[in-house]
Amino acid sequence: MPQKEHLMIDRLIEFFEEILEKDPGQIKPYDKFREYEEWDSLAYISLVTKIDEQFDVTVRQDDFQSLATIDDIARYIAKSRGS
Amino acid sequence: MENHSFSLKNKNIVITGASSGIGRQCAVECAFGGARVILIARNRQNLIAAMDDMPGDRHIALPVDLTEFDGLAASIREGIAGIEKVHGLVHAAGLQMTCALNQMNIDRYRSLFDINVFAGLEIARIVTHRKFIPQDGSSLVFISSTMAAAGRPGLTGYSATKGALLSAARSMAMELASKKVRVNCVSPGLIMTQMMQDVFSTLTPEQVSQRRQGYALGLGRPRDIADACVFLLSDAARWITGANIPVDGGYTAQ
Ligand SMILES: NC(=O)c1ccc[n+]([C@@H]2O[C@H](COP(=O)([O-])OP(=O)(O)OC[C@H]3O[C@@H](n4cnc5c(N)ncnc54)[C@H](OP(=O)(O)O)[C@@H]3O)[C@@H](O)[C@H]2O)c1
Repeated sequence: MPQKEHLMIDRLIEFFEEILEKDPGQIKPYDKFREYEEWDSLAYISLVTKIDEQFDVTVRQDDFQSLATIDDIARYIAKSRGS
Repeated sequence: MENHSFSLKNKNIVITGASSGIGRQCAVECAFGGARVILIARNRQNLIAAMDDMPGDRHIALPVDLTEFDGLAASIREGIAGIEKVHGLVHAAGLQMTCALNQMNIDRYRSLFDINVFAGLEIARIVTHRKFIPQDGSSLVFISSTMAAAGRPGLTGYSATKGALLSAARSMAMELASKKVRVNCVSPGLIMTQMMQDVFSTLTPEQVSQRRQGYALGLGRPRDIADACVFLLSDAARWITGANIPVDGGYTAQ
């Protein structure tokens, strides 16, 4: 996996920790994030807003449905930015 | 023939947010009611497009950012210099934001309060200066929301601004009654405007269908809100002040 994608995963993990109010280390790149007890539609809005603000990528609603893990989100962002 | 009490003939009405959605529809309906309208929003082209839908040719488009508070009073006064009196105001400019409490911050609260509340109070101050109030008084209408009375996740900031308008309007109504200025709110339920389309584009399909529930009469149109505003601006509402009219298809009646 390219270095850039690693950094992106780290950033996404930070987002998840902040949004779901989890302690460091509780979120893993291959976790199925929809299975977190704290995940809800408002968390979804918080996440796409953060991705938009921080990575300048607008996540399409139907694209998001097909993403299951944080790693998937990182790949999606990388692809959307053409990197 | 005497004017019908619901008519806005010979009245000058200032409308903020007139470039889009509810404010734009208010401008159109006020013009059909016979008023001369001063349309305010940032987007000049959209203001001019709104004027194309309005009968009469004495309306004024005033492209102003209502959150640039330094100099706001000067630009409004300059814009309405040719008009002697202001008979009414509708503050429909606004911003909606769905954001979890743990993602809110002072800048976000400020951006909501700046346009939804402070801009409205500032423009009310400007148009109720003694020199602008007609002998028979004037009427101010603030567009609040059902979300001032009901709660929904993600709307802490937005609801706070809309509740602030209801409270401010009551005190303003008491303060200005001696000048024959009436102050009221209209609280719309869900109206499919640009703002709502933007909001819906951020929601999940389940949230969208949730948002559509609870409207006994179905969703509203901008015209439904504009008609209520025209009534409050007209002499037919001469004995109504400090009130809030929910126009929400029954949403808050449940
Ligand atoms: N739609 C609904 O379902 C609904 C429900 C309840 C309450 N409301 C309230 O109704 C009001 C109008 O909503 P809407 O749905 O018609 O929204 P909209 O279509 O997005 O219109 C908002 C208006 O506010 C103006 N505006 C925003 N920021 C401004 C600024 N800084 N300076 C000057 N003008 C500014 C915009 O014009 P420019 O971009 O050209 O500046 C636009 O004309 C809002 O207060 C909203 O909270 C709406």
